[in-house]
Amino acid sequence: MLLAAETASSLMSLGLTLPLWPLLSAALVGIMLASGRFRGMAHVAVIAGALVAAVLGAVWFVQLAPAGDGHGATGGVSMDIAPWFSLGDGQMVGFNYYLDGLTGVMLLVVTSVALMVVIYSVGYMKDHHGHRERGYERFFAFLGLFIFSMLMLVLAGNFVLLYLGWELVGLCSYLLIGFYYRKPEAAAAAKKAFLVNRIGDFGFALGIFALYQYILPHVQPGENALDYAVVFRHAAQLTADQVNLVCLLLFCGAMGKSAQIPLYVWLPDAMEGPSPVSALIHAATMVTAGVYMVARCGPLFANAPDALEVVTWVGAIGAIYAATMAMAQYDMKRILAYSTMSQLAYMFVALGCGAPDSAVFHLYTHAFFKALLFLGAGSVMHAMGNVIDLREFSGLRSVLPTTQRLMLIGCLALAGFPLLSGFWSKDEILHAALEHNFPVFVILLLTSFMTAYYTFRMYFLCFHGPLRLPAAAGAHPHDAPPVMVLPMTLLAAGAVLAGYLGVAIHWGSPLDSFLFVFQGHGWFHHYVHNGSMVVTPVEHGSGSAVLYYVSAAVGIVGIWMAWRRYGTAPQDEPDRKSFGPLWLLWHARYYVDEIFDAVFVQPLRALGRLFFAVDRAGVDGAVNAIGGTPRALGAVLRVAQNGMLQSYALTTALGIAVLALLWRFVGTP
Amino acid sequence: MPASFYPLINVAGLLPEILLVAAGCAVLLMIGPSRRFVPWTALGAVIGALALLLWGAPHPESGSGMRFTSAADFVRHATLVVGALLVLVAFAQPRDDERGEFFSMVLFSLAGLMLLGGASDLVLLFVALELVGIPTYVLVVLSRHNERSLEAGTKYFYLGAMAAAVTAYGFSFLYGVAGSADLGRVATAVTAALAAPGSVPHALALTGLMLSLAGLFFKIAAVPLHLYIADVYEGAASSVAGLLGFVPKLAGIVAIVKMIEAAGWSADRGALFWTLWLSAALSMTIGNVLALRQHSIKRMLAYSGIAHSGYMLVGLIAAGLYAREGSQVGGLMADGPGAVFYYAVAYGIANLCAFAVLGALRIRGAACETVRDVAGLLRRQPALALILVIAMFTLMGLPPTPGFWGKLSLFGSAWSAAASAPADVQWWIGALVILAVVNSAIGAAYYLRVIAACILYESDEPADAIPAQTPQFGATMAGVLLLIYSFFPNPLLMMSRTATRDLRDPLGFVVEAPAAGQPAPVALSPHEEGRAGVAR
Repeated sequence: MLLAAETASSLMSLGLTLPLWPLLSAALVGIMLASGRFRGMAHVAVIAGALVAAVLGAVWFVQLAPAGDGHGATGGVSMDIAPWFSLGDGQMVGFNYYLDGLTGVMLLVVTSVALMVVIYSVGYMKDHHGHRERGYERFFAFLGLFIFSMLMLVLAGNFVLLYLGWELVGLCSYLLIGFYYRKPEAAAAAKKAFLVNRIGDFGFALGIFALYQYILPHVQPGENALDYAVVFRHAAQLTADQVNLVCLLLFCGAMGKSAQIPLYVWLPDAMEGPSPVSALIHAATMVTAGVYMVARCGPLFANAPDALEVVTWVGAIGAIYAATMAMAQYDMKRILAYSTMSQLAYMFVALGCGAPDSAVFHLYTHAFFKALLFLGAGSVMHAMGNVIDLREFSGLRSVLPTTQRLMLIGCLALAGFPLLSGFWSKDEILHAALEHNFPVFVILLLTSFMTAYYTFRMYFLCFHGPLRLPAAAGAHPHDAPPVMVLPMTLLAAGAVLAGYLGVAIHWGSPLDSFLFVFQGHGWFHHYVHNGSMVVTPVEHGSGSAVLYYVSAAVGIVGIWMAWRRYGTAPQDEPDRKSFGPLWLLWHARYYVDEIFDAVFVQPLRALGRLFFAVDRAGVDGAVNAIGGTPRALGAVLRVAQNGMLQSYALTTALGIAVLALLWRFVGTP
Repeated sequence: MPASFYPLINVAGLLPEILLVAAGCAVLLMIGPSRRFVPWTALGAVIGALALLLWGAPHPESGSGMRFTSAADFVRHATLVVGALLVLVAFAQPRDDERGEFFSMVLFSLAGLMLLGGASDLVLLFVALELVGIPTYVLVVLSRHNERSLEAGTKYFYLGAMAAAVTAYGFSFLYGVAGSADLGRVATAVTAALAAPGSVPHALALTGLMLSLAGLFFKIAAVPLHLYIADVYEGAASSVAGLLGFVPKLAGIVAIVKMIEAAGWSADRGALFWTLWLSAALSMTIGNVLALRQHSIKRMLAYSGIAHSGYMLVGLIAAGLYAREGSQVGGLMADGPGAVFYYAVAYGIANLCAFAVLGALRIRGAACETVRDVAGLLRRQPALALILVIAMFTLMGLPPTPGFWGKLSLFGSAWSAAASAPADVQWWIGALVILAVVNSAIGAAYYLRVIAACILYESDEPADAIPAQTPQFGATMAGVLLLIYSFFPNPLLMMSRTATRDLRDPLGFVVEAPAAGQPAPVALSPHEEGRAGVAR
């Protein structure tokens, strides 16, 4: 007994080192890079780090399972590791973890997908001849750093640590999107991603300030106001206005990180990064951080009905909006990026409808099949010589059979084909929407149809029809090597099977059990209930399975429609004829990039020019306008060759005059 | 004024400053072969002064226009710690035959900054400001041998002289209001005058405050007195540009805090509020927008220095709340001046660190200046590249660097101030915080460019480090210090919070104090004693 306890505790303390292993591996690669030795081993170090993290993540996932059947959940545990930062007045920001079911799921998703992607990258980051790409080691170092940051974000036990992880993943994302920095598009996309995310982060930061200020009066001595556990304990004591404000500000951060309207603009461009990065960061893990954060702050959001309403509608509109754009793109990765945005929007709808467990369930299934899809698209891209435009190739099933089969599984899961993982989780969200908000439900159902349709449009255009190859692919494109196939296969297994953790087996009539067997809310839900999450309880055996049939039909009809229209990979774009100008609008992505450029970027540039002009020429102009700047003064001051000194002095004097007279115009104290 | 009013203070307490000045004179006299030891003498003096301050010299008693509050203690310590880094960074900088002049100027400037922390008299404050300022003008010229540094130094000198004149003019108004140069009396009189709008003293006090602040804005390069900064930074050698980011800036900040204190902590209302508000908003925005346009890292850092001054002014606006009784929020998120002190030091070190790395690099024999020059630095000079990246992270405010802790406390305290400020300015403070956070988001873009160039890009043009190891050592020390402050932020934060302990009681100066003749009860609260001496 004692031995068991000791084993458990040493396991625990080993588990606490979870995020450090990827960091260690990244540091090792850095040392290799600096010393110039063992550089060929870079991937080994990072795979080892990711492997240890994955094992520990799985151990944690098991450890955090609720006892018994999961009813009567215990709530999260805040585990203090070290004090870190004193805010004064007895307030500390500790280095602490918050462990509950949600943490367990996130750890499992992050570590397992990360491991798969790192393994895949070994094959992907080589060219046709097996030569490593430039910056091979650096790529793996950044991946290691990213895994560390993401794990910190997930494990954080207080808002400051969360913010730390939040910023660090943004930084890693920047570095990895800009990995092909020689391409101007990649450099621009990296900058865009970082800046748009920072705009969201500023709301997030203000949300933390506001939260601190509101929660502090309720905090008991010895409690740290920014710890999750403390915030959740006192969440109910905040007034409705306070909690709505805090939640909306926090949601700003989620909108940036999880690419929701209007801060989504960076995600499609982020596809300029290498495909494994798109799979790991921009599909499976980092972009879900916003969903995670809103789910984590459940006790706050549960008291903020207005904020939840906003979350629901932002999600609903974003879902269909992204789907329309995905319908009219040719870049495979961009199609997948819009579908990521759309699926994340589904999760937000679930959060808004008070079903965070369904949101997290979808997050979890989505991670597998979307990572699979991106890796598959990467495999296509790899074989096609970095061409990813669907107009450039078709009929690839004959040359890339393995990739085609794996992609088919991913597409079916995304389309919500019955019995695959995406089907179960998406249906639950539809169910939650139906119960809370009928218009939103209709939007989501329509989006489901569109999802199935555009996913298979992409699939058919790529793999069906006559074989056509771009010039860059060479005469004999090769299918993915085993090192890329293995992780894709494992992810495909996840895409098929992962959903079964979340369904309950309940033999019954076909009207209340899907196909006589399945009902919603299985073990997975009990698992995530074990924590801070606020969920409306669901009673077993009471649900109706009708919705399952509806959504299955919607998915299948969508796929069928896509087959009818695109089954032979026609090159004349049938949709363009059917939808006309609407299709062109979708194809142009609603001109949002152009609008953003005109509304934000150009004015900022103009402002810069204006300031610069004031700084330089404008001042000179003022001097000239005054004209009779005494020559004598000029002679005294002529030490400065370019004559700028007078203008500086004049401007300075003007500034002082403004300051001195300011009090005249702003009223008296 | 009777002689007894300004008793001679205990000179032993000022030994650190005296050591610096003495060493400054000594290095001027070192000629011939002994010049080689000039940097060592300067370093020894700074470290010796620090040792004296920590263990040797008694805490100086207040009097003679000096008041050694906890803020003064903070400034003295910070000056010497960062001063040691400054000397290390500049170790091999100037030509051999001008080292004496160069390092004596550094030492004088540091001594001035230390004295400034304790100054509690308009005259001494002004003298200390000039003792900080004049050596820096010389340093800019001495640091490099070309036209640009000469031009930069001249511009800096003329504009600095102009700003000093304005400050002196403002001080004269304050003297006129109070009838005394002592800051305690000035505070009493100014607070009373500000409370009576429409009266002549009111106008005089406001004019005095505004003019003093205008001159001091020059020191911290806040809008509208920011114009010189890019040319000066660009013209000066890297080590001097690093010094300019700390010494004059901290001097200006300390003096501005003293002015706000003299105005009865009324930074969240009235003309003082609007002055700080406008200057903060414009400094942040203009600094960042201009920095975004730069390709030269030195100019970028110069313009971003304007933005950082803006952030500090945001913290000073929170000073009003901090002094107010009954505010619900306490601690770091409500201590504007403490946050500003912290930030000034963190920024100073990070800025110095960045310039030190630039100073240690050469591109084909020329100074390393543009973003392109540092491309691929990670491959050529991994250590320097990492230090530069840490410095950029700090300036950017990425957690967990000191820049983040500083911004957290600056903006946090301003946000808290918004909640308890007078209703008419509440929204304005909130808007300022939002502007500050947006600005620090925008600001990340240009720092990120340097970071990306360093660790992402590859370059065919190698950036070689200069052979001298000492600037690298200075850069390394600064980088290590930043790392320490990242992971162990508490000591410095606590120090800067303690620094504001004596500033804490709001209108302390107006409180009736014991008559001048009575001795102060305990030696442990020197400011009380100083106050007792003046506020009869």
